[in-house]
Amino acid sequence: MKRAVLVILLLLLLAPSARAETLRELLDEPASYDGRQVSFRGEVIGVIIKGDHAWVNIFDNGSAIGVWCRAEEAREISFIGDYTHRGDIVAGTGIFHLACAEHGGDVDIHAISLTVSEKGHVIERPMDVLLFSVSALIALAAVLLSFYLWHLRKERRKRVPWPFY
Amino acid sequence: MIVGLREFSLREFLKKNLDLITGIFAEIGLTVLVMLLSFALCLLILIFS
Amino acid sequence: MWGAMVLTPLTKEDLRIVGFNLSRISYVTGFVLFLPIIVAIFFNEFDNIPYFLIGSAISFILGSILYHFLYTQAEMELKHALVMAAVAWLFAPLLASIPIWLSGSMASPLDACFESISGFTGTGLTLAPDIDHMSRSINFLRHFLQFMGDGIGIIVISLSILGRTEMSSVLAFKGEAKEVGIRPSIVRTSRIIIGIGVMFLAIGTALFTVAGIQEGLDPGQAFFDGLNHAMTGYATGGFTVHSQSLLYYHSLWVEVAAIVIMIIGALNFNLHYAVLGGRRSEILRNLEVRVLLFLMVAFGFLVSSNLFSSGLYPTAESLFRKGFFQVISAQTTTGFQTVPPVHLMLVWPVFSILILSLAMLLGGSANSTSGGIKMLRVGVLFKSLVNEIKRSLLPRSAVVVGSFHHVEETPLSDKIIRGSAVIAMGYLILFMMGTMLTVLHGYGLEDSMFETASALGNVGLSCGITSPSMSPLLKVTYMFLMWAGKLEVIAVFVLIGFILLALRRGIK
Repeated sequence: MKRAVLVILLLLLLAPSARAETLRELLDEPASYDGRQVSFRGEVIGVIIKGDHAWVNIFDNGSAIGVWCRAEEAREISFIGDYTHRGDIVAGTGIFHLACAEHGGDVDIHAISLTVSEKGHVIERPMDVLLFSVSALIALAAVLLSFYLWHLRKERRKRVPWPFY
Repeated sequence: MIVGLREFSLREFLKKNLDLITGIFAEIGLTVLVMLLSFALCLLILIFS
Repeated sequence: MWGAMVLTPLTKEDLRIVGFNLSRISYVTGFVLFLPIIVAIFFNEFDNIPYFLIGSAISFILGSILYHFLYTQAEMELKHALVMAAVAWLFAPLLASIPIWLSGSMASPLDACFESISGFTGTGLTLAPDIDHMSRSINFLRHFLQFMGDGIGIIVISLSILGRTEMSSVLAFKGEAKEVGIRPSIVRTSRIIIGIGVMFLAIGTALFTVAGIQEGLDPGQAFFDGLNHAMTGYATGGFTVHSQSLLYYHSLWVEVAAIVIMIIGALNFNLHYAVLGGRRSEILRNLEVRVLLFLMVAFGFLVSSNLFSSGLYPTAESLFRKGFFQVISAQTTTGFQTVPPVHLMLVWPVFSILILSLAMLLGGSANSTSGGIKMLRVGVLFKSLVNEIKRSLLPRSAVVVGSFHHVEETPLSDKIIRGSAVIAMGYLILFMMGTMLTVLHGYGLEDSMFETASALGNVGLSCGITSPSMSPLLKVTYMFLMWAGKLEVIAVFVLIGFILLALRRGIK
């Protein structure tokens, strides 16, 4: 009897846990997720604070979605992803909308919870000094060459009338 | 005579710019007109459904 | 067929003329590739600077080679101008793809070329796998290419900066599909086009910046994004700073700013010149404006009704921001998108996709930054259809002569009708070819039509077909369509004729 109860409890615990849907899945099968609670995870690529709420745009493997959350949750984010930064990875749960009536038909997720699961960091992009110097020299030489040839042509035109060359 | 010439060119300058500014507003006004018309049609769709 | 016509064989001189004039395009591209260095310095992206330097250097070196070895003072004729325009619109993007490829932002050199052509032609279809992490200077270059290539026109720029004798300039200008007519002097016309472009760029940037700040962006980002989107909005290009296009902002006001700049970009240069010069009545009497507005509102109504009845967008605001916005983006051939591409394929009803495809194919005004068959031709063909109907209904002796108002009253002559019909035919042929090739790759019919119309009309709206994993053949096909659409088809056919002639008769 006890064992049966234990098994049933275990099944009940396991059943509703959803693995995090990838953003791509949410976008590719919107009908199956529309209006339902989903878990999401992605890198922050944009934060727009609007009063006591905020938009957090997250990116994962080529897909991006806007998450509508509370401003305090958004303020926990320290890094926004761009060329020189890897953004914080945030995860959470929320209601997915295919066409949110509150937000003019946008695709979005209204977050129930949003936490920073991995802090981002700065991405170093050091300048290659050798490449820089070489390319600068070549560019300068190319421009000077162009001016020189143009000058040459002008001089030649003064001395030899067209069309004798 | 010099003062008269200066006055003349200033008026021309203003008139030229006035055309430009009102022209810009006319063009932007056109886009606003389109948007208002579009929004009105959206409301119409909602009402007559 | 070819033998029956007396065509003068190609001479080496013909090739010289084309090649020599390409040197100017090369030089201008070299200068254009220098500018993003300023952006790179501003954002401390020094590692990117070599890419622009190398691209610029190659442009200048190639330009020098062409200038020195192919120097000629011979006059350009129409055939040279058309061929040169066609080649220039491949040559310049190829040069500009160098920094894009070197930066590692694209998956392959072919993708970099695709991106560059999409930039120059003002299309906006993108193969960039990760725009959000792209360097700001390379991202700026993408947007800048659209402003320079399509907003103003690479030939226009080279004319106004480097000047040239009147005749050849007129012809090169015509090759780029812009009618002469604003001012008698071609160089002055070019400068006016640039002036108008810069002015609307400033206005567009201001609108976007204000909207952005109002919505919660910090001023710096609002300005940078605003400047870039004003560039691509005016150029009716459609590249955006972020991968979600304008959906990134979730903002009605940003979309409103976008609509303002999109419609302005889709208006004829002659119209701008007339209206800004005081002839404001032109704005409502002009045939193209009338057709453009009518179609935008009519198509918008059809799409919105369809979307509403499908249950997808139940509020007026969402119908406006999704239905009308996408229609305006399509008709002006811009390509700003507020619906994820994959949703256009999977969620939107087919009828709306077809209307959007039609809107994209028909396009914006002639002599504007828009693509497509163009409103002037559509208006002319429609009026001539009406006249034909009239002719059949009236007695034989009656004479039906129509006219249309485009800056001035113009009679609807057979020549004008024929010109419009031929080009419309050209577009339709390419549209069918593109659609069939896309369908061959396994995509649905309406999605194939949509993506093909987007490429051919230089629009940039995507239903998801365009992606880095697209087959190389399809990438090349769309590159061809973007290029052909930009040149309004005729220049491309002349180039093909040029090549066939060279192959058949040889070069003397």
